[in-house]
Amino acid sequence: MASINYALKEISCKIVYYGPGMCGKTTNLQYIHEHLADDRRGKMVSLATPGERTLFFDFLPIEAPSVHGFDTKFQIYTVPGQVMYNSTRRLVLRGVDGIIFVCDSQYDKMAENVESFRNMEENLDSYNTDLDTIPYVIQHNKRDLPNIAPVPFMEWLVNRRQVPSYEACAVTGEGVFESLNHVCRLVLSNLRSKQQRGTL
Amino acid sequence: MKKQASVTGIAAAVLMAAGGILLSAHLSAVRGLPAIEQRSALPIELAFYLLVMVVVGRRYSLQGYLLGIGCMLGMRLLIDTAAVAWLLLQQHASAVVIADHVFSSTPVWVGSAVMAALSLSPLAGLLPERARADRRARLMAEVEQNRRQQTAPAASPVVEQVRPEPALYVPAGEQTPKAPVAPRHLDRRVMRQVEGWVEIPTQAIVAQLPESLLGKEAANGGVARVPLSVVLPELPEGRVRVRLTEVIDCLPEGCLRPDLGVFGSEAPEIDLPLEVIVPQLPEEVLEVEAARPPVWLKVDPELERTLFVSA
Repeated sequence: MASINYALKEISCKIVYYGPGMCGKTTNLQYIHEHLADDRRGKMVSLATPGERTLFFDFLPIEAPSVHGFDTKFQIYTVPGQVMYNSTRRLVLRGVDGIIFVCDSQYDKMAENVESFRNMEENLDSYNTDLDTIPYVIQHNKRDLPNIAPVPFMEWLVNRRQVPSYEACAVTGEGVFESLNHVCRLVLSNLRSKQQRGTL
Repeated sequence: MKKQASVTGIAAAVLMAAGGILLSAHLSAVRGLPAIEQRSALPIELAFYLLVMVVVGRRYSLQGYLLGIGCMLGMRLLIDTAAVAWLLLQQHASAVVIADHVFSSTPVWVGSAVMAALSLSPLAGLLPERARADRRARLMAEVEQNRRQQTAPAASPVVEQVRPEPALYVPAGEQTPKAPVAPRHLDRRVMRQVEGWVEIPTQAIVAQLPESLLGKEAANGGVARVPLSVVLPELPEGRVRVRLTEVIDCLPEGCLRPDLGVFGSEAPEIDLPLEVIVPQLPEEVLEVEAARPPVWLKVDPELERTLFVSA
C-alpha cells in the first residue's frame, strides 16, 4: 500500500514484477539497477540459486524525480516464478500498488503465461483486490528469441482488458524502462485519484 | 453449542439444588415446622425436584434430568458433610447427634419450594437449551434436508458447466488443491464460432503416440485437418491439448493401426503444436472484445513525463 508522508513530502509505492518462471523478471530488475543513475537507485537485494532462479524475491528501491513537490520512491519487487513458491508470491503481492506482468514470448511458454496470470488474479483475490483496481502493464519479453508467438495472440491470451503492453528484451534493455515508466505513471495517477476521492 | 448447553444445565441444576438444600438446612432450626424423617428426606427432595422440572415445562432432555439429579445429590451430600464438619469444629455436640438433627429435621418442602421458585424465576433462562422437542424437530428437519438433497436432480441443463482446470500453482505444503476458480479475465472471453480447420503435420501428432498404436503409414507424413471447433476451446489455455479420439478422424488413413478398439477416457492426450496453429488462425479469432477499460487507465496529464531514464 502506498504511503504518503506529508511532513517529509514523500510518497512511497510498491511495484511488483510478476510472471512465470524464467520469463525475465530478475533480468528486468538487474537492467534497471545497472542503468539507473546512482543517486536514483538503492542497493539491489537478490536471493537466487546457482541456476539463476529467484529463491525468495528481488528487491530494488529507486527514486523518481519530484512529483507535485513530493519525493517519490518506488520499491520494486519480483516474485519467484516457480510453481511451488506461491506462498511467497502471495506475500510479495501484499499491498502492491502496481504490477508489471512479464510474459515469455516463446510458444512453449504460453500455457505458463496463462497459468501465471490466473495465479496472480487468485492471489490478488486473497487480498480482496483485483486487476480492475490495481494498475498494471504487460511486458512481452524475450522478443529477440526464435519461435516466439505473435503479439496479437499473446494479447488475446493475457490482455483482455487491453491495458498498455510493451514488447521487450530485458537482456538488451528494450522495453524495460518503458514498462517501468508507464506503470509508475499509472500508479501515481491512481494514487492522486484516490486521494481526490478521499479513498486513500 | 452442546458444551454451552451442558454448562447452563449444570448451572441451573446446581442453583436449584443448592438453593433448596441450603434453605432447608437453615430453616431446620426453626421450631414448629413439620419435621420429616431422615430416611424420607432424599426421596422426597428428589420427587419434588423432578416434579418441578416437569411442571416448568417438559423442556428437558433425558440427559438434562439425569444431570440435574446428579447435581442435586452431589450438592446435598457436600452441604450436609460441610454442616456436620462445621458443628464438630464448634464442639457444640457429638457427631451422631448433630447428623441426626440435620438429616431428620430438614423441612424438605421449603427446599423444594425454593427450587420451584428458582425454576420459574428469571434464572430459568439458565435451563438446558437443547430441549427434547426442539431436538426432535431439528432431527426431523435434518432428515428432510438430506432426503431432498438425495432426490435432487443431478444437474440443471441451464447451468453452465465450468470445465475443471488443472491447478498448476499449489502452495508449498498444501496437500489438497483448492477447487478450481474460473479466472476473471476469461469470464469476459467470448469465443467466436468460426468454421474451418487448421492443417497440422501428421508427424507432430504421431510422435506423441506410443508405437503400439501406429500403423504402417505413420512415418509417411502428410497433414491432419483439425477442425477449429476442436482447437478453439483449448486455445485460451495457451496450449491445445486434445484427446486422440478428437483428432483420430483427421489423420490420414494408415497412420494408426486398423484394429484399434474404441478408446474411452484413457485415450492418450496430444499437444497440438501452437506454432503451427496460431499462424493459420483467422484474424477474427484473435480480435479482443472491447471490455470496459479499468478506471486507473486514465493518466494524469501532469504525469505524462518520463520518470526514469537510462543513465
